[in-house]
Amino acid sequence: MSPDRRSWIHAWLLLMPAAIVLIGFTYYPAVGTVVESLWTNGTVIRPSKFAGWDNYAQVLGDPVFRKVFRNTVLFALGTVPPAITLALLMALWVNGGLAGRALVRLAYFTPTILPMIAVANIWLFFYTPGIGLLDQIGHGLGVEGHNWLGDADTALACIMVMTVWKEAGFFMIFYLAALQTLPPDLIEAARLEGAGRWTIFRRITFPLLMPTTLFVLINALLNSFKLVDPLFVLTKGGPDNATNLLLYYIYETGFSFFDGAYAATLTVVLLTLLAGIALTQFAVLDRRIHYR
Amino acid sequence: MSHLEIRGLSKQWGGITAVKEVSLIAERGSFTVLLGPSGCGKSTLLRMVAGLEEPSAGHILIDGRDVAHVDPAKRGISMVFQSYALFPHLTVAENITFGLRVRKVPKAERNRRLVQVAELVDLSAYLDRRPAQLSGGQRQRVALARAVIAEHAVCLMDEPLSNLDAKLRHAMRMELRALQRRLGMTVLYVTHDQTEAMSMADQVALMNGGTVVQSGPPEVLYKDPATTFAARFLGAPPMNILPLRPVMGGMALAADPLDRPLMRATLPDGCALGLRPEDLILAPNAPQAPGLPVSVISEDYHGADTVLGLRITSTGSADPHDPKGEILVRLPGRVSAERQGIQRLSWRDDAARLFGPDGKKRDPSPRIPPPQGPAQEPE
Ligand SMILES: Nc1ncnc2c1ncn2[C@@H]1O[C@H](COP(=O)(O)OP(=O)(O)OP(=O)(O)O)[C@@H](O)[C@H]1O
Ligand SMILES: [Mg+2]
Repeated sequence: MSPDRRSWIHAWLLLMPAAIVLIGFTYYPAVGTVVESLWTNGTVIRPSKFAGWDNYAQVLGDPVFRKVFRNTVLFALGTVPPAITLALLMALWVNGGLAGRALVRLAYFTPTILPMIAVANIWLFFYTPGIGLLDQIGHGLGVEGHNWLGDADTALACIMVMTVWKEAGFFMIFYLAALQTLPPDLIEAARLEGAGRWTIFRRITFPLLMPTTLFVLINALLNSFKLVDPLFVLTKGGPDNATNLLLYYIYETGFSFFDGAYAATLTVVLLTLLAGIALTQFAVLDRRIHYR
Repeated sequence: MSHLEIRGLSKQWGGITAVKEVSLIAERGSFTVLLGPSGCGKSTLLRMVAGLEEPSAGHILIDGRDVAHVDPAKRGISMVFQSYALFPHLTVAENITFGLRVRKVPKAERNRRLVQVAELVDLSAYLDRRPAQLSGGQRQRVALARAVIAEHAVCLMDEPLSNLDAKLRHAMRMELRALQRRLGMTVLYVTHDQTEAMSMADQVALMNGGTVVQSGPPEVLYKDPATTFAARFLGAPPMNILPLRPVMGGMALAADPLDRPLMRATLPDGCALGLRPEDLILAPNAPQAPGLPVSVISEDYHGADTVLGLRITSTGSADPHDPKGEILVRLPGRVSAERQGIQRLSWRDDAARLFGPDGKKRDPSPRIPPPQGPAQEPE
C-alpha cells in the first residue's frame, strides 16, 4: 500500500465518527424531508407516489396552516420586541451601581434556568380559571374570573406574556456583557459635551450595542418560530387553533394525524422561513453595525 | 479663555487619599502641566476639575466661579482623554461636532466651525472616515479638534500623547503647543513624561503622593529644585545627590577619602549635595588639582553626549563591581571609555545645591565650590 493511500485512509477514519453522526442525524433527515415532501403519504392500501408540488399547493390552500402561520407571525411580533426591550432595560438597570445588584441579576436570570415545561406549569397555575393566581387577585379586586387559556381572544396573548418572561432574562445577560465592555471614557466624554442620560443612550450606548441587538434579535426570532413546548402543557394549540404555532402544527400533522408527507412539506416551509429570516437580518443589519 | 484656580482640593476613597489639599493657579492662556510618577494622583486631580470625580474637599474656580459641585457640562471645559474616547460608530465630522449637536447649535454654524477646526488640525481630508480607519496621530487630532471646537474656557488633557510613537509624539508636542498659543487656551495637561513637561509647560506642578511638591516655570524647577524628589524626577540622567558628613573644620562629602571640608558651617546629619550631571567637570588627575579623585566605571553614549558613571576612589584602585555611590556626569560628544585610571571631578562654584535631612532645599543656599587643592593626608 502506498504511503499516499494510507494517509487517505487515516483521514477518512478520523473523519468517520463525526461524519456518521452528521449524515445520520442531520443531512440524511434533511434531504429525506425534502424528498418526502415531494411524495404522497403512503398507506398499506395506497402506496406512496410522486406528487411533485401538490403538497406545497395544499399548504397554500390549507386554512389551518394560514391560521397557524398568522399565529406564529403574531407570536413573533408580540414576543420578540418586548423581550428585547425588557432585556435591555433590565441590563441597563442592573449595570448601574445599585445596591444588591448581584441578587437582582440572579432574580432576572432565574426564569432562564428553568425548563420551559416547568415554566409552563407555573404559569398554568397563574392562568387557571377560578383558583389561578390571576383570578384570585381579580377576585380580591372584585373583577370577575376569566378562562384565560380557554378564550380564543386571550389564549395566545397569555402564552406570549409567559414567553417574554422566560426569554428576557436570557437576553439580558448578553446585553449586560456588552454593556460591561463599553469603555467608560466614551460615556464620560459625552457627559462633558453636555449629553444627558437619554442622549447618551440614544446616540452612544444603543448604537454601540447594535451587534448584540442583532445577535439577540436573530436568536429571539428563531426561538419564536421554533417554540412548541408550552403548548403541550397549556393549550395543545387550542381553543380552535387559536394558539397553534407552526412547529406544533407540524408535530400534530406528523404524529397525531400521521400525515408524514404533509408534515415534511410544512417542515421544509418552516426551514425556508427560518433561513430567510437569518439571511435577511445579516444582510440588512450587518452592514450598518460593525465599526471596528 | 479663562483663569483656573484650585484651592485645597482633596479626594479620598475609603481609606485611600489620592489627592491631598492641592492648590494651584493656572493663568489665562497658560499651559500648566501636572507632572509626577504613576499613581501620584494626577488623573484624579484632573478628573475632579472636569467634574467626573466628586471632590472630598476644596474648591475649583473658573473665572472666579466655584464649580467644584457643578455638572461637568456646565463648567465650560473640554477634555482630551488618553484613549481619545472617540465614538467608533460616528464619522470624524460627527465626532468633532458631537457636542455642538447635543447643545443644538444650528447646522450652518456647526459646519462653519467644523471646516475651521478641521483646517486647524489638518483633518479636512478625513472628515467622512470612522475612527477605526485613522492612524494613531490622526485619532489624536480628532480628539483635539473635538476639544477645540467647543471654544471652552479651559481644556484638560490626560496623557494625550502617550499612545503615540516617539517621533510622532515629538511632532504632536510642537503642534499642540502652537495650537494652544494660537487659540490662547488655558490648558491643564497631565503627564508622567518630564520631556513633555519641560518642552510645553509655562508652569509645571510637580506632584508626589497626592500633593504638589513644587510648582513654577520648568526652568526654575530644573535649576532650583525644592526637594531631592524634584531634583531626581526632573532631568535625565537625574541630579546626583551626594551625602555630606561632618569632619574637622566643617562638612565634607561622605565619599571623599581625604575628608577635605567643603564649607565651614556644621550642618545636621543627613544633609546632601545636589549636582546636575552636566554641571560636573572631569579633568586629568594632578596632585594640585581641585576636586575628587574618581575612576570611570560605566559609559552610556547618546550621540550628542555621553553619560559616564563615576566612582570616588580612595586608594587609587577602584572596584568596578561596586556600583554604589555612582556619580553620573554628562560630557558632550563621544567620550572614550579608554580614559582609564584616576580622574579629577569638580564642578562650577554655583552648581551645587544643598538639601537638608528632610530632603528639602536649605535656604539660603551657600556657594559650595569643589574641595580644593593639595590632598592633605588625614591626621
Ligand atoms: N476609583 C478609585 N478608587 C480607589 N482608589 C483609586 C481610584 N482611582 C484612583 N485611585 C487611587 O488613587 C491614586 C491616584 O490615582 P491616579 O489615577 O490619579 O494616578 P495617576 O497619577 O494618574 O497615575 P498614572 O500616571 O499611572 O495615570 C492611586 O493610588 C490609585 O490607586
Ligand atoms: Mg493617570
